[in-house]
Amino acid sequence: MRLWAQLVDEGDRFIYDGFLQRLGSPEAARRACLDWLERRNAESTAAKVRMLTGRTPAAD
Amino acid sequence: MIGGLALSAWNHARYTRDADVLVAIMPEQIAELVAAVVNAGFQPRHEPPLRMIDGQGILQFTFQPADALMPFQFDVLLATTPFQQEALARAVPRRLPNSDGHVAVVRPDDLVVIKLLAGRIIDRAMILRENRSDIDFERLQRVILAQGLMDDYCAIWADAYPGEPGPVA
Repeated sequence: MRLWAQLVDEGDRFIYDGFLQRLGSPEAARRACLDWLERRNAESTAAKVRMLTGRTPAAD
Repeated sequence: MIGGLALSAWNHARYTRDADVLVAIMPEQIAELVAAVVNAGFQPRHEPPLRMIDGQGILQFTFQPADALMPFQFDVLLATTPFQQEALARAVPRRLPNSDGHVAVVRPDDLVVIKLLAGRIIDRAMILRENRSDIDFERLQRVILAQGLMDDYCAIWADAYPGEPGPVA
């Protein structure tokens, strides 16, 4: 599990570095990362509901 | 355990960012479960922690390790349907890669059904191909028929076992 956690963290740092390159400031890059996580969470939550119910979620 | 980490317990490791578990508990036990997870250092993503989405109960938590850039996500899905409860009852202890302990992981045939229900293209044929000896095909086909997923099942069968006769309805 430690390896998995490292993998996730490395992936996050890769995303962060991409934002940092584009946005120029660590604060803006971190904010962009958190926004990305929020969007990703909305998508993955819908997929998880669908995988258990077989239905597209009607509400979130 | 379900989701991407469950796949890695069944010979199909791939990148996943979330840890997902399916639990069968009584509604009055939810507060106790939340308290235990919070005591372990996790933060609920929502207040109140339980969300109902299209009839599916879900508890979402985050965990921020001191040395990690971003928080990790831990989702607890509540088993309500007969299929979900049966999948839990059939779960088996498996060792995750790079881990010492065993966790109860949903069986590969139930993961196939879950993937088909979700309409997810990725992973489905791989689960079949890489776990052939662990899959109860008779039961899988019964569940597939009951869920109305036979067309999709035939498609992933052809991907998993090219050149072999397809499953018979």
